[in-house]
Amino acid sequence: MLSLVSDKLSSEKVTVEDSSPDGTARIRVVFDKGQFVEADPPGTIVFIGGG
Amino acid sequence: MTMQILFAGLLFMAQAKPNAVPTGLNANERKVLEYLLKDWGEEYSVTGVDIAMQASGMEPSDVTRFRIGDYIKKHPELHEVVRQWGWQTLVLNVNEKLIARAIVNAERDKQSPPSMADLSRLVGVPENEARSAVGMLDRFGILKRNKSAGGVGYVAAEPRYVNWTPWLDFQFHRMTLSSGRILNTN
Repeated sequence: MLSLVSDKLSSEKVTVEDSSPDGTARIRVVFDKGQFVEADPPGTIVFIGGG
Repeated sequence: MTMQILFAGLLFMAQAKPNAVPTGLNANERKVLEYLLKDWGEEYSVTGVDIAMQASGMEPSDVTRFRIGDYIKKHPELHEVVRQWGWQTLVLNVNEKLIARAIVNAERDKQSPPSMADLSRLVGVPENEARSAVGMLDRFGILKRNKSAGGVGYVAAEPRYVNWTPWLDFQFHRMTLSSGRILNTN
């Protein structure tokens, strides 16, 4: 999903709605042109990149 | 005779075409299915029926969504995405996936089963929406009635749903693009 945001969808603003499989809390993360913008709830830890 | 055999052979080939949309749905429902057949697999799409209905200009309707979803459930030959990822993740909306988790994860972890008020609070929807979601999960055969279970009185209909995390079943990664497209990715 993150590779999509930074590659094929890198010209878009993308809002991702997600949730951890072990819970029911909703997570919302916004990217704009491949860059992280914000996450809700604010304490959400977003891992970006790798290697 | 030769012509008849040849004709029969061509007919069989037409019926076996993987992405053909067979009959059994009305025109609007077929339009939704055609949208999905084009969308699935693009950008890792595992887009659900609810999104396709919205994209096709249809009003939200659990009845229609169930008809299309039940069709997908019964026709895995429609597309590789159905066979690879399972019909469950394609036919359920986000609220139903979260409600399913709340019920089966409690069953899996041997915790007290949630009441309808618990489901409403855990998923952040009114109780009537939580009740509708449980009803849809029942209709799709993912949950089954068990009054002795306590809580809302439903349990997983198959062992698969208690230990569901190896599959996409109740997961979602819903992406809304500035261009207007909405999709689920795997």
